[in-house]
Amino acid sequence: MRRRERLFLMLMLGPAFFYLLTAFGLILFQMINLSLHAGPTGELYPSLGNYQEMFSSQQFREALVRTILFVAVATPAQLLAGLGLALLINKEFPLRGLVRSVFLIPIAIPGTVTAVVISMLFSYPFGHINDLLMGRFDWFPQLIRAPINWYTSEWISLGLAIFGKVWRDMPISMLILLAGLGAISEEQYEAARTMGASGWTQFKLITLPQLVPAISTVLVLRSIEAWKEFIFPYILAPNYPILGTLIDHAYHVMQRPSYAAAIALFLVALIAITTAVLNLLLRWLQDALVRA
Amino acid sequence: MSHVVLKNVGKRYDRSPTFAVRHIDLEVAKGEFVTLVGPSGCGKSTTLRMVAGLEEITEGDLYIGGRRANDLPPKDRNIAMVFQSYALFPHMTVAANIVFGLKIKGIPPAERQRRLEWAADLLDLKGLENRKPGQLSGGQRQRVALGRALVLEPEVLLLDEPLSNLDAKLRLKMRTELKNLHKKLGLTIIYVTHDQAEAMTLSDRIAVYDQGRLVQVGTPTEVYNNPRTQFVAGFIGSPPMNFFEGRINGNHFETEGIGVQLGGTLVPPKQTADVRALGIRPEDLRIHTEPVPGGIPGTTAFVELMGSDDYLVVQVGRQLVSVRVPAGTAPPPGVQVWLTAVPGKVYWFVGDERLCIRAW
Amino acid sequence: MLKHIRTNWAWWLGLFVALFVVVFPIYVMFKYSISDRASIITGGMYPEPLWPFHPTTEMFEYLLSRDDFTVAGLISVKVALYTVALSLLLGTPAAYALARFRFPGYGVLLFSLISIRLFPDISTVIPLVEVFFNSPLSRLPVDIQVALSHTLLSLPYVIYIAMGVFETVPKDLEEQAAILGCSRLGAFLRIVLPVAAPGLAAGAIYTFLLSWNEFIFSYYLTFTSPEGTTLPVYLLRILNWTPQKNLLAALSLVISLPVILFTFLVQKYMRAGLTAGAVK
Repeated sequence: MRRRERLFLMLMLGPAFFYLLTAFGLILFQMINLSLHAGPTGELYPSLGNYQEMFSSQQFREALVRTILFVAVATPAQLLAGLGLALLINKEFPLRGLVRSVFLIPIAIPGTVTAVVISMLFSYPFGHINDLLMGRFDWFPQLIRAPINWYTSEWISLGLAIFGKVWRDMPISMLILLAGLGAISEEQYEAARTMGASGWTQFKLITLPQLVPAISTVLVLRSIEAWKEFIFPYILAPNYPILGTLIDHAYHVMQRPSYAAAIALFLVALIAITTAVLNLLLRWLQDALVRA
Repeated sequence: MSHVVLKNVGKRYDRSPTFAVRHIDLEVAKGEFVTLVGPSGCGKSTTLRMVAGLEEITEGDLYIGGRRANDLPPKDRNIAMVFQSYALFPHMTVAANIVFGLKIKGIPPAERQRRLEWAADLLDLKGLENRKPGQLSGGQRQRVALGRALVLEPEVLLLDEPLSNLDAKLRLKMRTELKNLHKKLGLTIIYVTHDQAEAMTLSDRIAVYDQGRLVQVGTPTEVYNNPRTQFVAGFIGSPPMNFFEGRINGNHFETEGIGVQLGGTLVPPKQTADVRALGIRPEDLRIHTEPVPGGIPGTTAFVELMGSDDYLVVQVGRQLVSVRVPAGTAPPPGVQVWLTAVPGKVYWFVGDERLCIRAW
Repeated sequence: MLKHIRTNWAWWLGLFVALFVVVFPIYVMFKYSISDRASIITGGMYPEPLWPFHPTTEMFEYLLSRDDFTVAGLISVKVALYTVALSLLLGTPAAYALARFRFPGYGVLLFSLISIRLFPDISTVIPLVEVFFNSPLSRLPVDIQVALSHTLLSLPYVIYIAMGVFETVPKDLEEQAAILGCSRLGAFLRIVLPVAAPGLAAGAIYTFLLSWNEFIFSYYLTFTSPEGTTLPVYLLRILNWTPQKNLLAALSLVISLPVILFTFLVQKYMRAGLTAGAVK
């Protein structure tokens, strides 16, 4: 019976995990293997040449800084956007289901589409935002004298990429936080009200502390996704690569798969380490909050 | 001849240092209705699940129909089981549920149909065959679950708290129906419940569990009249037996700071050294308004009305004691009374095991 | 549980702003898609109108007339369906085993599922294409190739989602099936799967969305493929070819419409899928 059970488990688990683990084993092996092929055509092997080149490259260091900035801004922005939406919707009002569906739309739309729509809004020299700022609509004053090419400004194009990312992913943060809010019973608020707590006090003393696990989840999951981001910077900030787009640049433009693999491996390691650190940090913080 | 035999059966779960149940010795005869009863977590369900083959038996032997069944998978044990949740397959109709086991066993369609009709007739399920379980009432679901078990024509029918999801009224009705079915079909039934009243009314014999051990097996009357331990005495009977914790000192029983003189119907056991408690059932107590030999002094507190009888609650020391009295005969509150036992209905509990000794 | 916050102006304002931020880009996409030439090429003489001067469906007609568009649409549908099928086929049995059994190595398997989520697609894709292009896999049709790669992404999620679903199926059902004579596999196929099916729909829908929207793998595997590519990559091809707003918007709308409909029709399942692994 024991043996039959083992056989059954193998049969059930085998296919999925064989598929995933061989694929990712192969991918990781090939990533390392490829990254050790240095030189313009990858003729030196094994060699750490790609890594030396990477760490001494200005472009790489800039991309790293932009990536860190991207994560540092996009993650809390997604938390705030998601929290805002969750608080708005965590309340009974007519057409609530419909509004919630509308708030889910961004995540359903492909990132490629969102990025293209944003690029159209901010197109140069003519586009809705330039039209608006140039005072071409009668109902808005002229704020700038010449149209702005948003894509030649590092901060604006990265900002647009962050906006796109936050816009698209806020429903996920919203849903996680909504689930957290749902776990707080109405009686707690009623009890607080009988003790005379104001709306803000209720939020601060009841909602927020009990939302800490959900907030931690959002921060961890969303920061991972922010590190992994590709499509928004790819379309909206093509001139200012972050690590993800730099990998593509190395592969498609520089035609150097092995150099791309070195950056790719660096990014994997970076995500693994930062996620582990963030996890520890949040756990420590949660413990500290519980004790406080 | 015994039909199901458990010999020194025990269960220890993986990674658990202690046995969940141990030293279970039980024999169930063909056509017998045996109930395993005890509070939750006492091991009665685990025992049933070992008989069913849902839990592996860690030690001891299980025989069903003379065959050693320890290593047989559930389907080869010739058993059927009804779960507390009924475990009806929600995506199948009543008919499909009932014949599911027959289909798996490769019984031909004509025979399946015959048994389905038999079960529908027996259990009053006619006309419901094409409904889904979600469209049935609790009682109907219960009967479908029974039907699904009965069509297998099992050697042993296992019932795990089958009535506990029904409301009180329906539970009483199903109790009667079950008893009837048992008589009519001559089924061998092992039944698990935490409800001692259910156990008492349904069973030929009951097996009382306490903390993973089988404490006593016997007919309901035996167990009621001669409980083996204080646990059994307290568990069987409703309202439960009154207990007075205390010791015998000379010719007094000392409880609640009161010394009750032994004598009258309060007969001490032969060995008085190890006595830990005295027990008398509510219906075995008599009230006196004057001091009597062996009378336990107390003050009347209030009356619980139960319909045919009233239960007078008397305060003895800090303890509340119930006494059954004929309806409307209870004295008013605050009256000093003396309680005596009916002759022969005095239970003493001795030693750490609290074994029961009756004295007269 | 719903909080009956006193309705006030701040809440209404917030709701209005949020709805505007969410809906406006979608509106813009729709507006551009039905724009005539004069509404998108203004030369700076007048602003682009918020409603086209002469709404037209000519861009949709144009798209439909292009063979590479219909091919891309077909590939996208096929890839998504293959991915759903493969992910469920592989994922549900594994999820069932993980939900019901504890065995040595259990933690390792769960940890490996989480670790896989740490791999950025853009990192994974570099060695992945090297493997695909230099192996017999390259001889497979592109839709199969892309579906195989998408399954790598969706499988961990499907396993998560399905684990959650199986945990809600009462164990009694399988035990009853075992007593009635089913093998473990039989109980899984005949009892557990049908009972879990509605919940598994969440996994299927999540996978469909993921595959339909996926860009990086499709891009690396098919951008230059003569067989055609998926719709999001096709959008990039068009973007590289022309910045014409009404064409891009019409194509964007075509890609988005099915998934927008999803959010209204199967919202319940979508929510279950999106928060899998995040909400207990």
